[in-house]
Amino acid sequence: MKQLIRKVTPFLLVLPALIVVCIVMVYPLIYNFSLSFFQWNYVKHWEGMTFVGLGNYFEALLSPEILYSLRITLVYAAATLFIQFILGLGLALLFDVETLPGKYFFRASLLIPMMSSAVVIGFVWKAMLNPDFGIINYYFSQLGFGNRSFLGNPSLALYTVIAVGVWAGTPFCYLMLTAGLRGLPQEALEASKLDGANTWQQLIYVKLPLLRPIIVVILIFQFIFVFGVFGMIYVLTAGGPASLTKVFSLLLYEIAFDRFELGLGATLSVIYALIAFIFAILFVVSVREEKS
Amino acid sequence: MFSSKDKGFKRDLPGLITVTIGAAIIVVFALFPVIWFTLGSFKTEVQLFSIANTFVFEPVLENYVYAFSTRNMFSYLANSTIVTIFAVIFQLAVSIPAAYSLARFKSKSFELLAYMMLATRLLPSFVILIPLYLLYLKLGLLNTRFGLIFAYTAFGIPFAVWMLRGFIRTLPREIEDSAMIDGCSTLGIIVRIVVPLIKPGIVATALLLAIGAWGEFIFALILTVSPAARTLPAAIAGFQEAYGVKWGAIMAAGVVALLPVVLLVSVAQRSLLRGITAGAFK
Repeated sequence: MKQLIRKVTPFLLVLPALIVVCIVMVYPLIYNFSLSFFQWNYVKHWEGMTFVGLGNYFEALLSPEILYSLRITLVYAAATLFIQFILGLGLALLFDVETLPGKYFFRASLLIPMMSSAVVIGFVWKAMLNPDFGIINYYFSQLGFGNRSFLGNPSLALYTVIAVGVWAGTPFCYLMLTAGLRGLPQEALEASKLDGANTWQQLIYVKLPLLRPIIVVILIFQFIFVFGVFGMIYVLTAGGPASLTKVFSLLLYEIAFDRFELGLGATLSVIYALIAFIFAILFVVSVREEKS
Repeated sequence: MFSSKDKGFKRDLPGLITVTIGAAIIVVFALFPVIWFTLGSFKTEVQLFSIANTFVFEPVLENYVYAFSTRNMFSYLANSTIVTIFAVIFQLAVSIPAAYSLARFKSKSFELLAYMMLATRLLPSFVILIPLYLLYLKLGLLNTRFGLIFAYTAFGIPFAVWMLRGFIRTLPREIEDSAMIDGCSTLGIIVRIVVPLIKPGIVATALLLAIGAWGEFIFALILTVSPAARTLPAAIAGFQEAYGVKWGAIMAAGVVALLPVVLLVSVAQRSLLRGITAGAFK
């Protein structure tokens, strides 16, 4: 009997976690998949779903609205990720967090943009950028640039949203890269100096390659995070002006909960999951290749 | 590059000044929006518009009074607190045994399980928004605190298991092995040996889980509707739909939502940073 318990114990320990995850994540994923083959408007066809096979997928991949949103999302994700990474790297290289005066206060102030709720960040910046009482516009008009509606102006909205995303995400990159840099083996750096490398060469040929594993982790996490952005943009622009900042998550939300097209919503969810998954796999594979 | 440790303070004054100025600029960038927002929460509508007096003004509490008395802030605050605390408790209760199992028992199927759990982390959470909504509709879990807690528990498990597994792996097996020889049950080992040893790791993980649950928005928005179960983030977003944009109430509510985060960040900094960086250094 004791033997049996010994054998079963590992599974029993994992079971509660598995059950919860299955109910909340696995079952919905499967349901999503099957629902994506139906057309189901929740309000109009209360009782019935119509099987449309791949119809939703065709509609999605041919719909200008959906494709545009996808493009906007990728632009936002790529730009935000790239800028915050470069900034974080630059900061990490220039200012080693651990040796700064007032270290605790400094780190605390970095953590706040990171840890705040996306919605709160959205409101903080929406207020700052407000054309009437926002402080940013105030200084802009003082400097002679005139009053601008950053979030309402079609040519500025996306850039503004990207800027806020960068603000929120740079601390993470900065902190992680600082930790990474601190963990670099001193011998490698010394050796390269002896070989006559200047700071720039040392950066490219020694530091970055050694940092690669961490960089990949940072990029994956942050990509998933920015790709799935919802709350922040929901608050800042609600997708406007004129759908110019309507990222995929917002569009999905609108299709599912404003237009009640649940079948199409499920289809978009599947597409979204696939894209995220593919990117993640690509990243992981690139790490594997480096290692071998 | 710039570090105040490289040369003696006295000899490297230009370096030190550069570092301090740089640090100050960074801090301003990071904190100013939040500080300005907080100041705004103490202003009346009129004061808010007089930008020349951004920093020098007579603070008022009317926004907070308004939010708490007419906008159900107490309920939202209570909901957020309850949901966060219970979600973290359940997450840990479920993830610690699972993490132990995945850390100690080697088998092909378990490795696969671990990777599958990790895989769910790679998906943006709202891909399951629609089915979860429908499921909850059927089960009558919409607009319930328990429903939210249950969902958050699931969201946090992959992260928690991954983190805790990493921490457990750093423990030497001898202690557990000798306990097992002494006849201790596996559960006993977990509770009496492993948990105390990885307590810092558990705390770091719990803090990150708490911050995640506290600030979660999408599912709070979809799965809850009324002050019976709605949490702060969703509620604050609602402030801008009803009566136009009530900035006073939004700012007050926003500060209330920010407060725990600021407190946590000041008090538990070390722990948080350990948690964040541990995630990367697999």
